[in-house]
Formats: sequence, C-alpha cells, structure tokens
Amino acid sequence: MSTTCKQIFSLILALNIFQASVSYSQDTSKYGETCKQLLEWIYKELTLKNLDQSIERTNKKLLASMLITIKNNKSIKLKNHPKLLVLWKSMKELDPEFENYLKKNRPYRKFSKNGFFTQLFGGLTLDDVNTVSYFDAIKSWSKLQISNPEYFKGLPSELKLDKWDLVTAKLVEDAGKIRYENEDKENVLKEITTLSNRLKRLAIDHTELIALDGMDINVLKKSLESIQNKIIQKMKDITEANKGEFSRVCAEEDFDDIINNNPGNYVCPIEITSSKNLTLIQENLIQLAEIIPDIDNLNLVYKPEVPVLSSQIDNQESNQSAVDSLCPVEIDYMRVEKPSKSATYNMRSNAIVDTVVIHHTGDGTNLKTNAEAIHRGHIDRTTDNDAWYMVGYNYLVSLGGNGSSIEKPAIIKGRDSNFRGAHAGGFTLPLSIDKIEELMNTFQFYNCRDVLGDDYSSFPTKQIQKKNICEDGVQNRISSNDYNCGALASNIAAVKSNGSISGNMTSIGVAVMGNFSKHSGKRFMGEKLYNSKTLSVSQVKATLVPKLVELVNALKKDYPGIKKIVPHSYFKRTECPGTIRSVLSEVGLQTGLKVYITKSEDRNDNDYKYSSSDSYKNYLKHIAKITEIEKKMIKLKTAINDLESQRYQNTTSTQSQINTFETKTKEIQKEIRTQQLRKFKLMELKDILLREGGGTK
Amino acid sequence: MIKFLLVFIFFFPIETTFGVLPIEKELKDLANEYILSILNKDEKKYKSLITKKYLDEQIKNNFLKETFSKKVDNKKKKVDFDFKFKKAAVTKDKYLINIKEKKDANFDENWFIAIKEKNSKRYKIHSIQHMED
Repeated sequence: MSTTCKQIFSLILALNIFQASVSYSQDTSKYGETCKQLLEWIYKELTLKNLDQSIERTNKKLLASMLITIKNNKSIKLKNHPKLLVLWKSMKELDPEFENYLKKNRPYRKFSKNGFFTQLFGGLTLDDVNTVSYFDAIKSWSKLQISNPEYFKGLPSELKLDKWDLVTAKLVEDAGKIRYENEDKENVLKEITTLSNRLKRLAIDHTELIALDGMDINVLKKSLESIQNKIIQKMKDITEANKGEFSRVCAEEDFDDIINNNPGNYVCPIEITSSKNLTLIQENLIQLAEIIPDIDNLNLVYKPEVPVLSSQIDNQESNQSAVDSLCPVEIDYMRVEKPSKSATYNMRSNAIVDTVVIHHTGDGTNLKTNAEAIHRGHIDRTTDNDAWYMVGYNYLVSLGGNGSSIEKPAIIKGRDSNFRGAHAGGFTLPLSIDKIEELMNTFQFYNCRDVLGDDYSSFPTKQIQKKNICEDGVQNRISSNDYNCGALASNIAAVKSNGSISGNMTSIGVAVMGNFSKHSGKRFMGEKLYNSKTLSVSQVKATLVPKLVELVNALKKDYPGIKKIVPHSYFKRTECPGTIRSVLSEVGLQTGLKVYITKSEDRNDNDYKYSSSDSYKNYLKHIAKITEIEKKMIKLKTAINDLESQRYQNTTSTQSQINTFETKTKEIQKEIRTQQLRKFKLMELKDILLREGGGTK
Repeated sequence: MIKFLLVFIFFFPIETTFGVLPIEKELKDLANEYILSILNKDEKKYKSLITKKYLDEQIKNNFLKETFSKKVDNKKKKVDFDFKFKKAAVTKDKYLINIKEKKDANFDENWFIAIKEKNSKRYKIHSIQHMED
C-alpha cells in the first residue's frame, strides 16, 4: 500500500471512529445527526482509492457469504433451496470466470470433476435465471442473510454484508451506466459485467486505477492528493480545536496519532458531551464540506453530490424497490380521506413476509373502480372496536385504468407494505418457534412509538399528491405522523397458542379491481335484490396474468422471503377472489412460486412445525403475561387520558378537584412504571427461556 | 317525578324506548321496504327508496326490466330478516347495511350503502360495497 493510501486509510479510520463516537453520544441531537451525515458522506464518496478499498471489502464479504453456504451444504442441503440456487446461478451469470476461479482454488477443486455448479446442486437446473448486475447480486445476498440466517451459520458478523457494501455496489453499477447509457440494453449489460469484473480485479491489485476514456490518471492522482491534504489539514485543525473537550478521556499520544495520521494500534474513543462543542465541531465540519465541490471535476467514475445535511443520505440507494421500478401509481390517500382519529397502524419488517394473497374487489366494483373509492370504503368501515387506518390492500391491480387519471392497466400502491395490511382475515399455519421469535423481535422494534419515543425517523413521511414515481422520481409515502401505532399487545396477541399468526402480518395483499364472483347480486327468498356486473377471468386473462406476474416477480425481489401465492379463500371462508383463483397456477408457474388454494394443500406439501416442549409452553405463557400487562398499561393510559380531558373540559371545577386528578394521575403513572418494570423483567425472563429452551419438534 | 316519567313514556314511541336507536329503526325500515318493493314488484316504491345514481346503474344493468316486468298477486305486508348496520366512520350521513334471510347462517360480504341525498331528510340506498370481515 502506498504512503498516500496509508494516509487516507488512517484518515478514514480516524473519521470512522470519530463518526461512531459522535453519533453514539448524540443520537438524538440534530448536531450529532448532521455530523454523522457529513462524516458518512466523506467516508463514502471521497476518493477512488476509497472505492477500491470498499470494493475489496465488499468482494471479500461476498465471497465469504457464498463459501459459507457451501460449508453449510451438509446441514441445510442447498439443492433444496431454490432461492439460494438462483442466487448461485446468478453469480455464474455475473461472472463467467467465477466457476473457473473456484475450481482452481482450494478447497473447491473437488468440485471441478463434473462442473462446480452441477456438483453442488446435484444436477438441478433452473432456466429462469436472469443476468444480474453486481449491485443486484450484493443486494440479493444481503437480503438473504437477513431472511435466511440459517444458510450463513458460522459467518462472522464482521463479514456480513451491510449498507456500505450496497453503496459500493451501486457505485460500481453507476460507473457502468454513466459510460454506456446511450447504447442498447444487451450491450450495456455486457459492458457493466465487464466493468464489474475489472473493478473486482482492481480490488485485488491496488496499483491500478480505473482508467476511463478521457481521464488523465496523473492529473487525477495529483489533484486527489491535493484535496486529501487539505482534508487531512482540516481534520488536524478540528482535532486540535476540540482537544480540550477530549482531554479527560484521551491520552496525549492518541491526539498525536490522529494529528500525525498515525492511528497505530489504538485511537481513544472520543466522547462528546457538550452541545456547545458539538456546534463548534459542526461548524468546522461544514467548512470541511466547502472544499468538497472541487471533487466534482475529478471523480469521473462517480460524480458525488454535495451532501444535503438535513436529508437521509443513508436511504438513497434503497428507495427504489423492484416494485417501484414498475412505475406504480401512488395516491395520497391521506388527502383523499383521513381516517378516524381512533385508527392506529402497525409496522412490520419485510423479512417476515412470505405470502402474496390475491383478492378481487367484489360486488359494486368494476375494472375502472378507483383505489380512492376502495380507500374511502375501508376507512368508513371503522367502528369503535375496529378502526381502519386506510385501504387494507398493499397493492391494487387496475385493468381498465384506475378511474381517475391513468387509463391504461396499472399497478396502484395501497397501504405501504411496511405496514401490517388489513385484508387476509385469518391465520397462518403454525410457525416454528424460531420464526415466532423473529416476529416477536420485529414487533418490539417496529411497533410502538411509545417504545421508540421520538426516534421514529424510519416512519414514512408525508406525501404530497398523486404521482407516477418514475416520472418525477419522488417516492411519496403514507402519512402516519398524525396517527398512533397500534399497541404492542395487538400483535403479540396475534400469536395463537398453536403458533399461528395473523395472515396480515406475513403477507402482501394484492387486489384485482372488479367483481369476479360466480354469482351476481344478493338474493332474498329467491329474488335478486340488485344486479351486480360480474366479470369472467377469461375476459381479462390476457392482461391480468402478465400484470400479476410482473408484480409478483418484483415483490419476490423486494421480499426474498416470499414463498407462495394464495387466494383470499386460503385464509377464510369467502368467495374472494372468485374466478381469478383459476389463473393463479399460471401465475405460480411463471413466477416460480408455489400456489396453494387451501391451507390443507399447504400443510400437506410443507413440514409445518410447532413445538409442544415445555420451553415453548413457558414461552407462550410469558407472551400471555406480557400481553396482559400491556393491556393493563393501555387501560391505565386511557384512564389518564380520560382524566386529563375531564380536567380540561371542566373549567368551573375547583383547584382541589384538579389536585385530586393530578394525584390520581401520578398514582396511575407510578403504577405504569411498576408495570413497565415488571414487563421488562418478564421480557428478560423470556429471553433467558428462549436461550435455554429446546428447539422445535 | 313519577308523573313526569309516565308522561314521558306515554308520548315516546314504543319502538324507540327499549334499546332501539331511531337511526337503526329508520335503516331497518328502509331495508324492509326495499325487500318488499322487490318481492311485491312495486317499481314506484323501489324508485323512491334509492338514489339517482343507484337507479341509473340498475337501469343500465337491466335489473329494473328483469325484476318489475313480472306481476305478483299476493303482496306481502311484512318480511322477516336479520339486519346489521354500521355508521361510516368518516363520511357524514352514510351507513352500511347488511341483511340476510333468517334461514341463512351468515351475513354475506356485500353491504348496501345508505346515504342522505342533498336536501333530503331520508336515507336511501346508494350503492353496494364488498366488505370482508
């Protein structure tokens, strides 16, 4: 590694540690957040050398991910996991030399006899493997690590793919696009693959820089060094300026190491406590940012944008999902009709989604019914005990336009798929204890603003108007800021004693606009009460099937855990989705997903397990206790709210009455604290039980 | 006090005094009349119970022609049915009504929507909505 490279590495290390410290100590401070964003930006996008190192890091991790799956082959039998198989095949598509590389290297030589992939997967073939980009590959492996940790058992945590790896892969992909954007798609794909391979080789050989047309490497190097020197100098200044603040915890030599770009074996963990000094640091960092635009003229591989300090830099690369790339219509449902204030929502992790549920919108609707009407209908259903937040489906498919501005068949976004939907109306088959534990963790993380406090920045932000996201590049989201998330209890209670859970938690609801019932209209004493126009699926099959296939394929990419397609009638006794049921097998064939019309088909085909062991029973017992406490807390909170509203309304009441209310409130709050402590103790106990508990049967 | 209560009970309609809300009665009456108008093939009555939009839809899909071209000799005066309703949470003056025959085990998923038209004091059937529980 060259001296400059070492310097940069030192700087990055120092920045990284500094960044971690700043963000750790001031997570909730806007100053801390600004510093964090800026430092992350510098870290991510500063130099080509930085990119080299990142590619090397990403490739190492990618290789580790792939190899660990081979290592685990004995225990998990890879050939039975089509998702993994597709990914492996995709890697072969990405780099034709990859197989040869593995054959030549120990300990994979043994696979060379009959072909690496043939040997690994026992001769299985899969024809629908698409050529993937480098970014797609990294993204897929990264998602797989989350959705199927069992494949990666034994992989050290530092070798797991992270967000930074995704950014790196995106840079590699963008590099390819910049150069070849005007050529036809096939050539672009080839060239991106070539470029990806070149970049991969580059990661191995640090002496080479990416030589794109028109780039003078010497000028580039010189200019980069100049900017790097400026930044190093600025970093020294910042460290010097804040030396006093850190002197309580940092040794003198640590500062010298930072200033002299020599981190050695140890850099002190800088701790910031004073907001005054944070302001100072922020000012210094903003000065640092002022020199960043110089890079615009130098970095031809990836033209960085000057950071917008208040925006979420982290989410830039993950905003465009596969479904979004289909240009779905987005509707500002909250502007169409706001739900009742009693409505709440629950969030969920994408990792727990494993099913696509197909609906029709039924009587009183047709191919041109608009999604706004469905939304209005759903929130109007709200009753005291059953408040609807918004349209319950996650996606709607309109075959004759959506009734307002779009006249062509369209996919329309419904309830954000990060939200628990409201469409299935039934329960899943019993899940394994591991899966339930995963769900529990998800609930605890996602559900409850009360638990998250003010830090619910991951919640979707307000949207503005109906837009086609691919036209204007703006992804509108559903406003949840005015509403409360549902109680934790409502989700925990959703786990039944046999280990099944509400289908809404684990599925994506897709509704096809129109009435596909076999019977038209309600009857009373043999007489029709109205005529409802029905459609036969054969009338629209030619449009419907490709549209559903397109959507389901995109959903598969966004939710790698999706395994099956089911009709609504899988979950409950209903005619829904009418004759659409008959085309689901075709959709299944074209998407590679299993289709189960009934739960018993699913149960017969799969090995659904749940445990009857004592540890599982104890686990459920504790869930019940937590639920009970949660319900008590909700009751107490409601009581507080009631008391407070009474207090405000009763303007003529005496001060002594107010004092009584306040005393009561305090007592109740005290009780809540006690209950909360109990709850946390129970949760700890639950964790201990889980750790000690036996596995599934 | 007792006198006052007696006077109150005397002047208050029996149906509304014992657990039935006025709106529930109004909607149940609407459903009752709607069913009877169809069973008795009373087109005039039927048209008076529905909104203009709903009427247009039912004309368009031939319901009126199919239903009211027949004649019924023994007109029914009363019909027994199970009834449930919900008030729309957000839209003003809108109710969801579901009905079923006594012999049926469950209500189906198709609800009548009843609204008050502009300048009207009565609720009328306005549309059908598919709603799964």
